[in-house]
Amino acid sequence: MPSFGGEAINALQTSMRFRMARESVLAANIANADTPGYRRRDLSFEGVLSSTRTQMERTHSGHLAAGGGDVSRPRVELGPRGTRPDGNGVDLDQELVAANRNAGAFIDQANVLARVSALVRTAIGQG
Amino acid sequence: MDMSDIMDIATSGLRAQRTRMTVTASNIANAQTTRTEEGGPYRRRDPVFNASRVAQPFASQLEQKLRSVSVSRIAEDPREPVTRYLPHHPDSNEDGYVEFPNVNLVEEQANLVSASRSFQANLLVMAKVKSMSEALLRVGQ
Repeated sequence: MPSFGGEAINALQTSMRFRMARESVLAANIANADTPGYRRRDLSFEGVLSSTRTQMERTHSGHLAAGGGDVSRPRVELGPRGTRPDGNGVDLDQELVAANRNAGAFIDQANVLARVSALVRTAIGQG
Repeated sequence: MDMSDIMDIATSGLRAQRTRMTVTASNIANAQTTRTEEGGPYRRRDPVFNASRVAQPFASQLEQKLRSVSVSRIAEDPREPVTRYLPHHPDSNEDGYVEFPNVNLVEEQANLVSASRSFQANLLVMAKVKSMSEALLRVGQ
């Protein structure tokens, strides 16, 4: 039985948690833009998506959650070794664009979340 | 994992780049220094950056993979000093040559530009995180 706004809030929460985690990974890449031998790290959205899609139904409370990883613990992927003489694989412009887009998606989702919670408040008569 | 972790990482980047600018400033200021405490001319220095863990004990898997940046040491450049024939200079040797620091001003300028660009990139991350937390605060209004 779908509850009003609950599914939307859950989906937004999952996505925003991912965006937040990815922002910290990108911030670490930017901070290490001049560290010799550092390989860039990233969290891929596709990885999160497929791990949520293959979630198996639990028909008994004793069953373990099978298939697919936990979205709250996305996998960190190491990028290729750099071609620069110091072995660093970070392209500062690329990281900045990625960080900007990622933060933009987070802000958009936060705005949608604000809308949904305003709807819920209206529905329970406190709007 | 929260906003303050991202701020900590960006701060480590700012601190490291500032150290790099300080070292570069020291190299430029001493480009003509022929006498030092250790003897001989000034030798140019470079900060050595090191990716270090941010994770506290009991941190999540993701947090253990995150790295902030720190300056592990200030290394001296092993390149030989530049010698010039100046027989009347007080620091000249018996053949009349003076050893000048192995500082190349063009190289230092390029280093300075690169450091300030990386500094700005870390500041941009901070500004983005700030607008992220502002958006989050609006949810409750």
